[in-house]
Amino acid sequence: MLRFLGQRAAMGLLTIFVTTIAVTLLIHLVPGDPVEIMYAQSQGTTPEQIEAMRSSLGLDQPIPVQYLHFVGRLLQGDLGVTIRGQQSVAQLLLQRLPNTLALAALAMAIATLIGMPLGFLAAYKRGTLLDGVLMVTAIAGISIPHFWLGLLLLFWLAVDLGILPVAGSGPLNIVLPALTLGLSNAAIVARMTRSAMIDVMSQDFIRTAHAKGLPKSRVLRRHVLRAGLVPVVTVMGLQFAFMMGGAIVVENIFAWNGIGRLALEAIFQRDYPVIQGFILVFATTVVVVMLALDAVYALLDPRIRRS
Amino acid sequence: MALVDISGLTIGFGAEETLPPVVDGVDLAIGKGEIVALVGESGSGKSMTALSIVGLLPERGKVRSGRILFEGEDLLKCGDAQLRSVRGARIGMIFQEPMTSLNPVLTIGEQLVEALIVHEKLSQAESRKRAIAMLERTGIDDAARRLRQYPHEFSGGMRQRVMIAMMMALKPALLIADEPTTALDVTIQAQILDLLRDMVRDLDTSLLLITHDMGVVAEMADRVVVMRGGKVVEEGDCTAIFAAPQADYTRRLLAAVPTLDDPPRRVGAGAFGSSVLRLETVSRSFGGGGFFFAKAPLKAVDGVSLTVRAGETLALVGESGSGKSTLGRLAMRLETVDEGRVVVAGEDITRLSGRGLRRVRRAIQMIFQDPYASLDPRFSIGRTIAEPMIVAGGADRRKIRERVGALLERAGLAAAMAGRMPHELSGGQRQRVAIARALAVNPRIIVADEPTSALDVSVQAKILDLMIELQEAEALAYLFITHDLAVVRRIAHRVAVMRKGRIVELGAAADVLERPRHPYTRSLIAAAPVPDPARRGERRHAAAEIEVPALETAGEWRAVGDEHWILA
Repeated sequence: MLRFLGQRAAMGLLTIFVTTIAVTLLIHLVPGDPVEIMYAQSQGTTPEQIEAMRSSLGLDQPIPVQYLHFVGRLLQGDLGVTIRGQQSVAQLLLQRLPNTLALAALAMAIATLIGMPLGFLAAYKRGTLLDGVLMVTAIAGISIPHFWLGLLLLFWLAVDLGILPVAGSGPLNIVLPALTLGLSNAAIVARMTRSAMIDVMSQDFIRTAHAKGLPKSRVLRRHVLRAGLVPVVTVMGLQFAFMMGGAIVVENIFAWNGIGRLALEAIFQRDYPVIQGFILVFATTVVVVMLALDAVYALLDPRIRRS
Repeated sequence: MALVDISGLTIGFGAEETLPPVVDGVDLAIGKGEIVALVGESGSGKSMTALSIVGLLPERGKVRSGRILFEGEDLLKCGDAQLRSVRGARIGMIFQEPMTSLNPVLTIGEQLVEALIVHEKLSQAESRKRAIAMLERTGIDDAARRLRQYPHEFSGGMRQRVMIAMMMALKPALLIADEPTTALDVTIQAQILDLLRDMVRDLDTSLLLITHDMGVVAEMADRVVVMRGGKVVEEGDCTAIFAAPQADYTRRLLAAVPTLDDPPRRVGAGAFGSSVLRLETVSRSFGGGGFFFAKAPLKAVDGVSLTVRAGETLALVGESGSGKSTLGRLAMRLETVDEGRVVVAGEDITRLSGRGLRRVRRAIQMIFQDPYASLDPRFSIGRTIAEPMIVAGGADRRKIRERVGALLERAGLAAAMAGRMPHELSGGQRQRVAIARALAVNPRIIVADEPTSALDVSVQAKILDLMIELQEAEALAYLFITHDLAVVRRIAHRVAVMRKGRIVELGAAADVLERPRHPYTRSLIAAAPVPDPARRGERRHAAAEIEVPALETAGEWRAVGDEHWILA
């Protein structure tokens, strides 16, 4: 078990290592000279200024040297400074990360609480009208774009009913973005739960459980639910990792100060250090979430635990 | 009064008007303490009949008419709650697949006690005590510790013991066992059948045993009910049915069962041609290595040497995990050997790859066990058979089409079948298609991996006949991999017995089967059920006397007869 997690952790570190290489090369992958593009909008930049920026970003050195510098600073927790404002990128990201984490966690909780029971119910009532209605709703939930659902909720709850604030950073402000993300994820979770549970219900060991004369509720609770959780948890983990990368659209609609919004601003301003930092943070989050998933699998499935 | 009295039972799927019933007016009675075998081939309706007793028919399956009296009460009229109180408590059920019939995420203990808690309202501690007692009763050592283990930590035979313990813990009046030993090795099957019989006799439980295996029937049943196409065709005392079957179908069924008393294939000296497949001390291990930590590799095949000559069938016999399938794959170069040499039709293919390997592969073809999985469901039969010829190249379309027709006819199918899709064919027909495909490139040898194990006995007999006929017509060689000794007797000239990656006995079929010299071979033969109720119990005494030594670590080959060797 520990060995299994150890192996996974090692693979995760490898992933992050590869990401650092990609991040270093990022600037060079953009066609044209990155620094010139950066200054293209601003009038009257002198060649000296461009040269100074180039050397402050270290771009005048060979790529392997750039990489070593980058990793060297990274190991000291230094992600550089923003191009505009000369703020510490690491501090900026750390400041925004809790917001995104809170949003993703709340959205995931909403998705689980709504999606799992409904998916389970649909599986249990498979083929009935209720199942049909639930699954059509779920498909609608997956298909509706975030910005549209977000705006609808905004108009309804904030403008019409006026029970929630439109935007800002008070404690109630998290509700609308979390609801938007939570509802569309609930649809995904519901569909996954339904198909996983239907799969389990047709297994031989469920027939055994019925043959023992166990009450239906007990069969569902003890035998079906737990055995069917692994694929559901996988999807939830992936969705969570995705939201941790900043639900960019939703954060922007509701002006939620998460790292997704930060990333979008940085992209518009071509603030490479911030973009690099964002990618690294995102990759690390994904790796950590995957590692957590592996631990949860082992908890749910003894076959993984003991191997 | 009978414990179970089924009359006029009719079961169908879907709409009554359009779809014929799968069980059609079945009458069946089971007396108290009686062992009744319900026999039939796939699709005969035997499993549906059994499942309807406990109300566990698959979705869309409905009882259309009839009555199922159990202890005087009609189960078909029971409500859900009432049926549930009968299920488990009064009627237990054991299924075919021990590997999937237990919940993988719950411990054995949790699964054993839950029914006791529900039905008998026992406390956790009491039911645990009962569970331990039942496990010990079924021959599982160290039961208290094993309660905390999960199903994947048990072997197939052990899981079936757990199932028996689980179902018998509630002392049901009736136990239904649906092919309980079909998925198990023959030595394990013998133990499980003995256990089942002892348990039901001790607790005075009636047993409804559903099986397709006449050997199992002869070994176990008091009374036999034969089903075909949803109807009961014959019913009677076990001894009487085997001695003098009345129905035409029963006679044919019994005649199709291969037995160890069939005359083995015999051959005169020099009847075979030159060697077409030669394995020289081949070995193959799996696993090992490990990403960070070293793991001990598993030796699936360990220094095996074999020769198969033109026109000869060499049967490779062994239980699951003996390495017999791996050896077949090594011969085909589907796996690469770690050590040793593979020579096909005089050419060393051990290190061949690409074009060279493809050319030699035309001389060696393969037939697999599962005819459902080994044909591409999106390819028509014609395309399936033509594919190897197209790959081989050099023939035009019209020629290929003609040859596909000819091959189908040689495999005993109509040439017009070429346009059909695999799902339109029965299991036996599909296996004929697989044979036609193997023949398409004129191979010298065919590796057949359990080619008849998934088929009903009557179909199995026909496929074996076809294989023999083809062999005699063109001096084909077979490496025939099987666990069924009776099949060996019908088709093999020589036999190699494998155990844990090594060959422990090798010789002419007649010698090995009639005068086995290695204790392991003797135990395999003794464990095979004999389809003759008059000889019931013989096997048990015979098997009990044989002591199979632990694995020979460094055995030596010893000649024990003419062309007959054992590893000792």
